[in-house]
Amino acid sequence: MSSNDHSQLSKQLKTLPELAPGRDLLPDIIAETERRRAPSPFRRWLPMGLAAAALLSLGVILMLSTTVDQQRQEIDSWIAYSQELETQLRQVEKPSAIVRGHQALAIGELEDRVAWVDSALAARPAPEQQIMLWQVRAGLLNDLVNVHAANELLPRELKRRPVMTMNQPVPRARLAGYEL
Amino acid sequence: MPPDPDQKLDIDEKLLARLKSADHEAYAEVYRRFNRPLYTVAFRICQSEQEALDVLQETFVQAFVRIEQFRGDSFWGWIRRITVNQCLSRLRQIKRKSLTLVDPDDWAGHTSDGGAQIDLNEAFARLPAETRAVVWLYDVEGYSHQEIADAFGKSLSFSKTQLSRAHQKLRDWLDKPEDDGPCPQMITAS
Repeated sequence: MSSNDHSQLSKQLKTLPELAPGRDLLPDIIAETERRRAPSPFRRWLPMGLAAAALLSLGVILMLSTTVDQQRQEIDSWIAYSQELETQLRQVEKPSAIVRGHQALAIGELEDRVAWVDSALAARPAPEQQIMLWQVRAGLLNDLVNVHAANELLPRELKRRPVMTMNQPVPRARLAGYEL
Repeated sequence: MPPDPDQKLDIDEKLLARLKSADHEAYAEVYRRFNRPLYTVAFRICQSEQEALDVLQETFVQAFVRIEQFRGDSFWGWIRRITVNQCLSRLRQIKRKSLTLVDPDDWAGHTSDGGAQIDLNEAFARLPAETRAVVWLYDVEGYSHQEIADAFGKSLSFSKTQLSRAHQKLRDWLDKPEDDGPCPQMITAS
């Protein structure tokens, strides 16, 4: 087939009539164009959404930091209370004094438990676990003070003194996970 | 007959500015000016009225929505390219749906209508869809082989081969009163 034939065929194709669409598409085109040009709900609300997300993030950060601060304060208060109790125990007048058998057993057991709690605290657990462990430790020390008080080994001014001064008693439920 | 690019089928700066400001009258003016040539391109390639209408609508919507992206000298060239891309996209979809697009090497199995001589319109419509698009773009719209290859995402030789074989086949069908040779199963996208 020659290039002349090609050219002739091309000319013939160009003579094919122009066609017209069977219906007027303009209304649909305008409607669809407007629909696509309109900002989507997503784009319209995007700035407000971003602002809300930023506020929420800030809130969460503040809340977390507040929570961390509160936990730190609680731990510190339990540590301070433990130190106070340990001070009282150091004031036992006569370490060599004779104690009754069952009291000696109780003291030994309590001291073992304090040692266990100390080892658990040495593992640097999460803040909420630290709080619980310090509460347990304070409770055990408090029991020790009471045992010594009952045996009159403490200085007179400390005897019969209500030593559990923290507002929060040791929550038994929170001790359940620990074999003391 | 489709417009000759030399006929200045285009828009001026004022109309372009009105399009950019989403003026509905400008939309109407552009639609009136371009709907027929664009519909012709779409129908010649798709050979389906419904497909051509869909292509036409999508072409204008895309053109109006993306008018800010128009940078070229020729609005007609730009909007026609949207139409062609739409058509080729639909042809690819049809192909993916496993509707047979017969390779020009394997145009067997077709018989003509009672052996009557067919006109160019009918002969053209008988070409396989991709081949038809190549022929129309090259012979009528004035695309180069490179532009066709780019539009199809294929090689230069694809365009040349398709065109050469299509011309041969068209000539055969048009010259002979009886169709003694194989021709493609026509694809009608619907």
